[in-house]
Amino acid sequence: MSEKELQKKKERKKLSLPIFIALAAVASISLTFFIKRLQEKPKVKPEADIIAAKVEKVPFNDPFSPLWEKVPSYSIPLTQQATVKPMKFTTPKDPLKVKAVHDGEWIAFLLEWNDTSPDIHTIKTKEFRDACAVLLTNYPAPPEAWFMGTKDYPATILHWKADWQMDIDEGFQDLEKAFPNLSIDMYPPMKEAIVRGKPPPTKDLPEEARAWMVGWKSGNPLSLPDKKSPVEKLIGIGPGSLTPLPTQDASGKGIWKVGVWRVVLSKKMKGSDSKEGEINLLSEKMYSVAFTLWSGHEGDRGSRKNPSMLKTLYIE
Amino acid sequence: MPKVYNWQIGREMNYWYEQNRPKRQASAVFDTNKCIACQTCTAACKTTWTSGKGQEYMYWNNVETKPWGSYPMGWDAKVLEALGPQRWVKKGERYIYEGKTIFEAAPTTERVLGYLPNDLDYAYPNRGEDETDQPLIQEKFYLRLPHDLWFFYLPRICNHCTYPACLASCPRMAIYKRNEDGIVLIDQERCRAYRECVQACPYKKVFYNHVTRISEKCVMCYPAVEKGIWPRCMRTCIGKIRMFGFLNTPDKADPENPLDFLVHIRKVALPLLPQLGLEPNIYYIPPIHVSNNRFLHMLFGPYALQALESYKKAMNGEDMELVGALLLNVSTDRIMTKFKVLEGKEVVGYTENGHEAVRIPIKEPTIVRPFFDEGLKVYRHNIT
Repeated sequence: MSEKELQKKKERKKLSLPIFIALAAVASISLTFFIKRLQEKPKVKPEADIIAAKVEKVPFNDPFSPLWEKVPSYSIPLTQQATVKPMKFTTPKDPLKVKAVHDGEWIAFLLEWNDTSPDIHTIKTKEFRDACAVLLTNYPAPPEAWFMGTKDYPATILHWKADWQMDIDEGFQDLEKAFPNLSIDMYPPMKEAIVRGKPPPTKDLPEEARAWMVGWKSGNPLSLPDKKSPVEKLIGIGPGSLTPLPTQDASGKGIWKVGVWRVVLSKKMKGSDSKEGEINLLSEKMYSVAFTLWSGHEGDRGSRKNPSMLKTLYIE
Repeated sequence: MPKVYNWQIGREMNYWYEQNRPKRQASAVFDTNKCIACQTCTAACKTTWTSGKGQEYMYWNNVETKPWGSYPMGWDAKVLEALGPQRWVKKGERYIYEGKTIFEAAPTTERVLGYLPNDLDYAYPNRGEDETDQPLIQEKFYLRLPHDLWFFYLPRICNHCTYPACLASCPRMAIYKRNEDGIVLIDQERCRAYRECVQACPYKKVFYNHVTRISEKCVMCYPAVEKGIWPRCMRTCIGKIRMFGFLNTPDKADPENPLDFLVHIRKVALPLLPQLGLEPNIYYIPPIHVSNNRFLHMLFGPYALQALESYKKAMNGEDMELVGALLLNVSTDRIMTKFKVLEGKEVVGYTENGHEAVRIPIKEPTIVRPFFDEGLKVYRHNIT
């Protein structure tokens, strides 16, 4: 071995110690951070059945917004309603497709399902509408909260109705829509006979004539000819307790195209009726959620429906 | 399901809720023998309650001709057919219904056995009036009816049942029976238009309003009843077939109460289709001229012939107290809770406060005047 080589070997030996020390220090710091990290609560997204993706602006009235294509779709199976009479034992073949987004102020759900025959009227005695609903309650909700909430876990329900959508899109679907050949002499207290037997539009009936339209007079939301939104915001604390909330600020829109209903249902994340039990939704929190479909041509209404089981919803 | 006692079928039966009879029960007796189907009651109700847009097809009060008439079409035949065998068994003096009620015969998924009528079923409210179900038969010299020569008119309103099927079927509990008078009402604010009540009511006396899109029914003119006044359909009856008041259960029957007297004491008035199990509170005096006893048995239950016997006694002048009670029909528009027949000459009806509401002679006095009027020097055409 030459002198030069010996010299290099000595230099390497001199260098290896500080490198070793430096490496040991880095390793110990990393280990400390790693242990500390293990002790901290994890900041990863919890496992949820549905994640409401954060977006810049919620497309709350547009079921065909391109934004919906950018968020994940969840397949939610629907079940029979065999708990409360009257029941429904049949179930739809296909699961419900659900997407959810929020922008910090509004949260919106897109529900999509196959339906070859849209049922958009409830004028005749045997006509029932297509409808869908989103039930929201605090997490973790007890199983019984699935039945329209409980006293401790009130359910905020967004209920979209196809007939209300028609009332908004095409104007109030009046009596003449179902009975085009209708002829009437008069409606009291109108003093004059109705010209050519054709009744005036319901909206134009004088105030006095509304005395016979008790649903309208008493303010039942189903009876009001002037609908503001196709989505009704309700509160439930158990079967049969469904009650419209005083501030009807839920929004949405449903469109039926080539055998598919696409419906957006949206609400403000901060509940405007939180005193009445409406849910307040916060980012990075988990909630319990359920979805329900009513198929008009199958005679669905009320408890004759196909609900999903209670699912988890995480808001990004 | 809880068990409740239904005296009309003589046994306990299943019902959706626990037994909860009101403090008193608004009730009425309709004498089918006097009804002429003038539809004054129908018009009185129509102009009062169902003149609005969306209510055009509704008749909370209707009068149909039996056996062929019905509104909505075939309501009775459809319900009875769905119910299956309806057997009554006599035990001692009483009949016990051994068939199923509409609550007991309900399918697994339902609360009540029922059906939803089609719109066309409501389209012919007068179909069957004085008609046959088949064409007349051409004999050699005359036309012959294809069935027995009898029919009668059946005025119908909501029965404000003790065990209402509409109330049992509503999943929202939007229908309630008032404790003060037993009147059954739909809360127009709570109704969500499920139409379970329309489907469940076997008498089809709950209607869907096409414009307000919720359900409506007879309110027994409760604003009037609260003031001690008869409902409109009752007080306008020109045939004087109706008697309105409050009915007790048989064990608490008061012989001085005109309703109790007719229903429980003389047993002359019977419920409509008691086998359905609703304990309806409108009672009917069966028609005396119907030769088909089985039809009466089906419609009014097994006591139909007994009721007719009782009624015939009054018609023959053998039961003046019953004559007196029947004379109170539409004699006043004030609700009477007591009545008395005074020395077989007069019947007096009293209001709840004990005030005399009406006094009627049992036999109308007849004055015969001379054929020739001496004062005017003319002959009279009518001397009585």
